[in-house]
Amino acid sequence: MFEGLRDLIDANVAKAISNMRDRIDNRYWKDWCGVLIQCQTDRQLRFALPGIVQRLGETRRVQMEVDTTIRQQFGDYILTVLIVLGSIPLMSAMMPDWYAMLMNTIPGKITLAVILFAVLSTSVWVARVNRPVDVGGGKA
Amino acid sequence: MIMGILAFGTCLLVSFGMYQILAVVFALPSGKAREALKNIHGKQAFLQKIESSLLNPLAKLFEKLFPMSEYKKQRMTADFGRLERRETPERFMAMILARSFLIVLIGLIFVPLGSPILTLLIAATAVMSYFHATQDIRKKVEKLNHEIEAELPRLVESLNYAIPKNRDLIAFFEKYRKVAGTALGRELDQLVFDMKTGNHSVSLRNLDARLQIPNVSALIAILCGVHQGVNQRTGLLILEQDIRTQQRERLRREAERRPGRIKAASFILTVLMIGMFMVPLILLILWNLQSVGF
Repeated sequence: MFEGLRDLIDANVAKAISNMRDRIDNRYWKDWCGVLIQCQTDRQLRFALPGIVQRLGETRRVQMEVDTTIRQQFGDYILTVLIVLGSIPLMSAMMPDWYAMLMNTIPGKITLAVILFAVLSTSVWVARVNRPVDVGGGKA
Repeated sequence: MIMGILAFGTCLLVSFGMYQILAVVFALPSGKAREALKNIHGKQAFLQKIESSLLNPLAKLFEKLFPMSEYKKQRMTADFGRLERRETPERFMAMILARSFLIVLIGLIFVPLGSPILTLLIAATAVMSYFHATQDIRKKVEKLNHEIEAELPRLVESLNYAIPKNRDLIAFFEKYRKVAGTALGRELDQLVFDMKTGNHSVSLRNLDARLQIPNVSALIAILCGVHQGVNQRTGLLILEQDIRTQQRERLRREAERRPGRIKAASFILTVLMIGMFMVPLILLILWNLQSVGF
């Protein structure tokens, strides 16, 4: 894309890099391309490029460490959800009176609704943990 | 009686017809035209009408009753400037206070209606909305600060390699502006404008006062040195390392917070599961007690 744009459409390298920069929504990529654009007028700035790659490496290292910790916790969470949801049919098999109370009375229905809502909302909340870490608080 | 009503109706119709004819003859403005002239900048929405008729007079009163301290005023003015808000801090605070006050007044309607709990809930909502509005500005500014802080390592690195060759800070910032992020770019625009029209050091100190970010303060001190001809390469290198370490630690802190969220979710589900077993048990006990006559 960059080559095609530069060779066939517009010879302005800075513009081509700028186009390329906007195509990927990643902080370090944007930083790297930004410095590359600056390098077109100041060759000395090429030494700033490895610094950005180093920062990306550090972020990825932290991300991998978090992923390892999260994976273990995630397994525990899924087990808890399975136990919570599995206990409802288990209750019907082992304690039919309790099951009838849960299914046929207003407080029981409210409790079930709260539990299902909690399962759904916590699963969304937990799924958001997998977002990449970022120094700016936004998208990495 | 009927004749009287018919005569009255005829008079009304004749008057209306005469008015219409005379309006055309004398080119009187129609009702629609008068309405359009009244709302020449567009029709006001219902909320805008409430704001202009109820909130504004109340806000003016609160503005006089609760004056703001000079420090807070200066800080908020700087924040408003960065968020490109035109209103004054006093006006903003008075408006949110008036809004909360009106919510409390609306809540008072429920006292004679026999549900004071609703009044209490609405009062709590009013207090929450007040604090939410005050913190909202701070949160937006902090978001901008985070964006700027995330971009600082690149800025410092670029400075570190560009300064030994050329000490012209205006030229550097103008070039950097082309590749800067939105938040930092806006501040650089202001800085370059100030530097071109005034003193370098004062412009840099103004930027520091606007942002109030510790790392930017350190960078400004170094840049003031650069402007005076001091070799600040070591200072820039140390600052770059410091910023990088801070960002790494911030990343770690954010990352370490995440497993806690999963633990909290598991805990909530466990408590709810206990509740799920307790509810039928309590209901059964109550049912049995009722059946034996308690």
